Amino acid sequence: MRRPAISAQTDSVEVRELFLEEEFRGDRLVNNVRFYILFVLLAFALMKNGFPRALHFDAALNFTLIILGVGYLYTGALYFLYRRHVYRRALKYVSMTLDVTLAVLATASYRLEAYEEYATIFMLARASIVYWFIIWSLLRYNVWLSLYSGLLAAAEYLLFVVVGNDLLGRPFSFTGKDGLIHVGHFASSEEILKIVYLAAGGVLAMIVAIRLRHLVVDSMRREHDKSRLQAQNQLITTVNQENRKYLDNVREGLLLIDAQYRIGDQYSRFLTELFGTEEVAGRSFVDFMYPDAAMQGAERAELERFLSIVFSNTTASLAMIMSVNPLSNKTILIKDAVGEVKKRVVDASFHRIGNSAAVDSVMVVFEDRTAVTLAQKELEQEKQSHEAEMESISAILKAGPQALKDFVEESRQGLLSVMQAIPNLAERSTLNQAFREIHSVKGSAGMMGFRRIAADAHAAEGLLANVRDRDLPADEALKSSVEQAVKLVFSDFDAVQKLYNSFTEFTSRPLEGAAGGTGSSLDRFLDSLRQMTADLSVRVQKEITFHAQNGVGDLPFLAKVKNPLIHMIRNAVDHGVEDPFERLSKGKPKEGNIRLGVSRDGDSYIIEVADDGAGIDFDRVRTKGIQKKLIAEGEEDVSNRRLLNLLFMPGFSSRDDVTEISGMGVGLDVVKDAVTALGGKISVATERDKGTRLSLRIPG
Amino acid sequence: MKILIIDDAMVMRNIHKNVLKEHGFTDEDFREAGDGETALKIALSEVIDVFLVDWNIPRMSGLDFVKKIRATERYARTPVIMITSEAAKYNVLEAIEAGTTDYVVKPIKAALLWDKLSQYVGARP
Repeated sequence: MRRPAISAQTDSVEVRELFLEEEFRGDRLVNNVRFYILFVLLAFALMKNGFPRALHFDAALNFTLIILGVGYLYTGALYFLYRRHVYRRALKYVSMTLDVTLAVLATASYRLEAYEEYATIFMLARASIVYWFIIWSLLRYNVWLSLYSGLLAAAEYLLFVVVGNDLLGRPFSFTGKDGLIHVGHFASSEEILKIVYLAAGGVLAMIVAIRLRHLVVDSMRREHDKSRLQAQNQLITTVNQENRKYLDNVREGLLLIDAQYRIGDQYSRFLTELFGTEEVAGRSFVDFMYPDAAMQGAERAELERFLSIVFSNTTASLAMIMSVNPLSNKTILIKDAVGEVKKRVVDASFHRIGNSAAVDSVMVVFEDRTAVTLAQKELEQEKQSHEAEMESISAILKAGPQALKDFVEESRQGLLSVMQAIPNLAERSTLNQAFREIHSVKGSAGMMGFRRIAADAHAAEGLLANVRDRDLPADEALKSSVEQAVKLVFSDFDAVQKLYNSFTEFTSRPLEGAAGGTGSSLDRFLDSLRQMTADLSVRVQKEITFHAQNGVGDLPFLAKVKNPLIHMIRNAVDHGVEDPFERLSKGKPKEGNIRLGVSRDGDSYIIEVADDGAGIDFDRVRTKGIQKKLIAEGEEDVSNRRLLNLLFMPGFSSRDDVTEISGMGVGLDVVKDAVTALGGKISVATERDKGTRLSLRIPG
Repeated sequence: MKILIIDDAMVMRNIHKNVLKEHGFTDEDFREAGDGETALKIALSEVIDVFLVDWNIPRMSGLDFVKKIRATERYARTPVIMITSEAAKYNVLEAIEAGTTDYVVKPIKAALLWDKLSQYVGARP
């Protein structure tokens, strides 16, 4: 996470600048004083020589004046460089050295008048070496500077010796023979000069002392400022750390925006988690919320309009302004670290910071309302589905069984024809037909009080209306959404059917009890068959009702027929009853029936298993019989009765091809064996698309 | 206290007055106008403390009226309450930008109206 810059650091930088400025001012003072001294010395020299005489200087005076002129030039240059802030430290020492040198030379020009002996010049220069060392080592406590100054003075001394002899028209000599100026020359007036030089040194010492005092005062103040600033920095750091702790841990997205809608440095960590980005500080708040300028133009404009009101509208009440907050309970799409897009619901509130006349900045507080919104939505959905169920129950009760049955069957037919019409929706007549069907489902659902069905049918109708009335293309996308919508209506009907089934089961129970059949082992077996049928039909996606009628109470040979009966029921579920769409397309009710009746005829028991399914396909049985060589060639026009017999032959059909023989299946030989063993008979009645009935007659 | 009530329906003006009268205001506190131009004349000839403006008034829309009085120095910060049935977001935005202080959504409920008004007219004993 990018740490926001701490403002205290900026303060420290300003402090350093301030100190540099102070130092510079101190130097300037010294520079000015030096300048005045040189000026006074020059004026003094001129006055001693007298102005008229100054117009025709002798050679020595010229020499001195040239030195002074150079002095002024370099002082001016130094002053200029000082103002430009370049080479400050080096300039300071060079200039100090040259100052003292020039002071010495200027004094020497005064001495020239009293002593016509030029040799004095170098005497003075020699003396200056001594005083250089004394003055500098006293004042600077700086070894390098003393050494440097000494070397410079020695060089000057040599210069004086050379130039002095030259002025007198004599050759240079190190020894002093022939009255030459030489390095070891000594004059009796030197003691007086010592006093003059000490005085000059004193002036310089005073200047440096003033400067030192400045330095001491400065450094004391600097220390004081430093500790004050350190304390301030400490305070700021502490406050920042406290802020940071708060901003790192608060479970709200906090940020500040300025009048240009820029986001400030200080924001909470939670904000970055909420929006899944670390790029926060310095960004425009509008970009931050809506990065896509092309796609989110309208949202950006709305947000900008709102922000402009928050910052500059002074007339409207806060409540009024917040009522148009575009970021209240706003759904945003966030790309997380692995690039997955997530939906978040955030709620932003805006708080003005500043006085009433001008808003400096605005604090935005984001709250994550994703979980709350989701919970609310779920609660709402649950409530709605409960309401729909209650409505369905009351609608079922109000309609009564017959009207409900008619409604459900008619509607399912209608929906089915809509499903069949979907591929051809581009045709005007088909579209109109589908529209009429769905419209009538909606109408009757509304009339019966099934509001959910009516609402879902209305949605499907709306899709078709788009094509019919607004000329939207009947493309694949539309077809698939129509299909989805119709399927939803189907599932609504399933839910109603389920409720209705629970009702009938509920109401049929006391009747069974009244028949007095409860408790017998045959009843328990029939109950388990009912359960089996229900489970199987769910698995094969069929809708089958199992009807059992026990007219005998109990069967003495029940144990021996249990397995055959299970086989027969299974066959009826698997292969007898067709799937709902096939049934509907044959014009039969979607729901199939399997009836098992046990009755008595004299001494015999009659067990009937009947379904209202597809019936036996004799053509397929014949083909199969020929394949299996159970029917001889040339005997193809064999009777249906013989074909039925084939079904009960072992191995006529195996698991592999059961599905090919619609209406009948496996294991009828098992049934035949069991019935034969009990001394009974089997009879079969079947009709295409009406169903099949197997009757077992078994002697008691 | 001078409250200027601007609505072309007298029934509405009476409703507003009755709500305020229940809280101690009297007929002397009210000025009434049935359209924007009359309202503007009254506003410029007297000093009004609070405006109650209907969104739809003849001869000048409520919004234009607000813009006009806001342009004057006298009413730069005077409370203006808009009575409106247009509570859609963009309408409220427009009202804010015109200079409205607050708004009350129609149909008016006495308690809610007083709740809003009391923030601007102050309570009477």
